[in-house]
Amino acid sequence: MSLGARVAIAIMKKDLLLEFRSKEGFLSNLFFCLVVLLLFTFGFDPSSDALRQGRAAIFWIAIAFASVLTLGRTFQRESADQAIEALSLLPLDPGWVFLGKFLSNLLIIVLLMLLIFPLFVVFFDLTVTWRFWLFPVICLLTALGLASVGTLFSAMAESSKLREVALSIMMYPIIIPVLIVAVQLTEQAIKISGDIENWHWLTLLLVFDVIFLTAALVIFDYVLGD
Amino acid sequence: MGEVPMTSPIVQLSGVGKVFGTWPVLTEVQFSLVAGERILFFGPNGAGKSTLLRIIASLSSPTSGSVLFYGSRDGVNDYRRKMGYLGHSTSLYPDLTGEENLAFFSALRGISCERSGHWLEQVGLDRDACRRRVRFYSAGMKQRLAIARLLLHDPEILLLDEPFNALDGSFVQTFLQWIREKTVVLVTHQLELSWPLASRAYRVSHGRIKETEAGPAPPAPGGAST
Repeated sequence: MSLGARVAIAIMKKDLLLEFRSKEGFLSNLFFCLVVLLLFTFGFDPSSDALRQGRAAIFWIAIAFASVLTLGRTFQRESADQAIEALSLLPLDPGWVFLGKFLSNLLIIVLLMLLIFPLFVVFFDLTVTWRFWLFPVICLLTALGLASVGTLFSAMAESSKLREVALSIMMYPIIIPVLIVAVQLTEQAIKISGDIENWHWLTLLLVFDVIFLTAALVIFDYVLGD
Repeated sequence: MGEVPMTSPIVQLSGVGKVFGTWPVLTEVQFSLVAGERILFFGPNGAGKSTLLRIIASLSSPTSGSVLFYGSRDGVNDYRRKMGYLGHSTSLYPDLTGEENLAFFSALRGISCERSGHWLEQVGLDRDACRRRVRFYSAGMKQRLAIARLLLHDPEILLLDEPFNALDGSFVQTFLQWIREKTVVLVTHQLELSWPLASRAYRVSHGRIKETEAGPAPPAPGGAST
């Protein structure tokens, strides 16, 4: 294995360890999603059309906000004692550092989605159908977009005085198309009858991911310096 | 002061300037580092010593002028492979144990874990301390662990910014023995400790550097500046 790949794996493992070790980490994100789902469940009549029409969007609102909390911590832990300096001085392409950070964020976001989805099914009284196979695919592709854009902007926001705000301001406008596509596809995955329509949304999601990941890898080289 | 070896420079700064906002921190710095040299930078607070060291470390880019590593801009990765940097911060992760910190930095450099165990022993951190989170270390213990991190990959070139901070006298002497055979650039206010080690010394003042006369005793800290 190349040094770059070893570095990416070491960074990913370290970030996952720190995320699950910290009390303000993953668990608080999980509770945040739970609260959002509960509020919407109790706030609307369960049999109302409004809730039925908006349920996919509610799921992705919870995930989008919780993801920003996760992504915001990506480079905060590096700047606590300037560990970022040690990473910046590695004799390799900074893209490997990005890849390690990106992979840890991707795994955390996917895990969050997979834990929240069963609750989403229960709270919104969804009927499990054969279309549910589509859901892990949507989750993975959306998480790829969120993690690539979020990891890059988290690094950029870290040098800003308003880092928490800066991440949201920079990230949401870029990530909105991905979330819209995710909502459309989720609606397809959870509907009770009929064929799956608009397959091209899936291709569109994949195209967004490729563009975001490539751009993030290129731009990260310039972000890691001073 | 010790002898000065004459070979081609590892790092060469030509007309380097650095401006933060409208504040010129460094002005027209000419400097070169040759293998085997032990260079000392001293001067008042805010003179630009740490900024200069960060530029020599390739952590920061100059606003004007050029920095060459082994005679070219492309030599930076080769330089980083052979270089160890200890800045104002320890570059450690407070929520990892001492052991986990060194294991992580070993993985980044492709070094075996036995080597990190060796350095933990060398810096005098016992088994109990190694298994405690760095957050609960004293300042001296953190600095010892940072020194273990610094020397982990056996760097030929050491760039040190106030490395004696929080260290007890006997450990400072041990550390000085370890670095005696290496190429060193040292920023310090503790001239009495480092003066006998230095082959060249520069006073930094108002962003300019000036080589000082070699002598058996260091100049007074409050002496005339450039």
